[in-house]
Amino acid sequence: MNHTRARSLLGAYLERDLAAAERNEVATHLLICAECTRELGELGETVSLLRGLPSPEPPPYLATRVMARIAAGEAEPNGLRRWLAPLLGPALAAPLAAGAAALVVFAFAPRPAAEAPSGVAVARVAPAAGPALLIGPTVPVATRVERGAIGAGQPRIGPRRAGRVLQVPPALAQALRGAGHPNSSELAAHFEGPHDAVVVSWSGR
Amino acid sequence: MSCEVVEAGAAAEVGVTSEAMAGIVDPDAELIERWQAGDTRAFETLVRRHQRRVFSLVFRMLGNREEAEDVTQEAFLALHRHGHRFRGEARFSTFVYRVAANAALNRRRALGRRRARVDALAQRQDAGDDLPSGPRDPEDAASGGQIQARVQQALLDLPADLRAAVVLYDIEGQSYGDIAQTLRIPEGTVKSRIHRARSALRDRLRALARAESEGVEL
Repeated sequence: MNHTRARSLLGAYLERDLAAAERNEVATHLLICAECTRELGELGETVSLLRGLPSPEPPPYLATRVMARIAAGEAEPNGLRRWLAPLLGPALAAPLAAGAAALVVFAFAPRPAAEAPSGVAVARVAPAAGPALLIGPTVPVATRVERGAIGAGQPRIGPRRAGRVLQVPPALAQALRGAGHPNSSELAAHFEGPHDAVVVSWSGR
Repeated sequence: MSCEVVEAGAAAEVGVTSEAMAGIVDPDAELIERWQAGDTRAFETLVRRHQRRVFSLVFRMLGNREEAEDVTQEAFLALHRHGHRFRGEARFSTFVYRVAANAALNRRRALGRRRARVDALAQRQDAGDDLPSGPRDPEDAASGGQIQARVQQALLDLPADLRAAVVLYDIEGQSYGDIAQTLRIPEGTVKSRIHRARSALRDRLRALARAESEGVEL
């Protein structure tokens, strides 16, 4: 077997994917060819490096997020998104449809007890959609809508911030889980990105 | 988000035909049946069961955690959307991989090669994300991390079709047959792509190692 032919078979040789006769011919060639021997060694090392790559951990909330998006209707085959897309374009239709879906979730959400009027609500909006409209059935009064941002590391939600609409930094979803709204945990799972959602909190009547 | 491209990829998958699966019991069969009967919790179990491998595949294809997370979510949404058409002709894990691989390839095309190079550089800088925990020796760990970053960069420099084949085979441990199904190409093509990918990786790794030893940025 000549050098060119043997070299072309090194990959299959490494995989033990050659018939016995051909495998023997390559092995014989390797005994006398330093170049092919080096190349085979390097290919083997490359495979070892690939197989030694650690498996990256998925985010711990991934499955929860997927299920929340399904619950919000994002996996519906004939969803609002498809209806909106031709009208608004996919970039705007997707978040608007998701926002509408989130409002549907609100509509069917259990309401907080009358004696506990404070709370927090979340809705998804288009990232650059201007003033965001956020109406949840549990919001007692229309709040002034205003964009704002929470500084990194102190995502505080509570009555003192009533009326403010906040862009959600990555750490905020976690904070929402303890924010008091009966659906905070479920809703928070929808939102993580810095421009993905707005949050409004309100205090009593 | 690129729901539309994921849709295209997923829609192409539902017509899977596989003679190879005859007589093989899919470990996910019971969950699939429950899910298709409307049990959302069964689907959630399927997501939890497969998310690690799907995320790993997508991450290796894209080289960026944020994109990988987004595409993984989109892949599972697409799966749920089209799942009623899954008839068990292929193993469910193969089906999931196919949807995920298509989603990653589509996203990759959308991002473009230039963006990917930026991601590769960024990832190189924070390669510590993927280091195994509890290193025995800091010097070894630094060296190991550097090598892993180099391998990941070399992977990202491969053409997408070669990268998909080698990631599925060498990193995800899939068989030639499964990869052929996933990528919808003949097994011979799978083998050829794997070999070409390995050769290209070897050349690239050699060049990267040389450049780093000379202090040159490639």
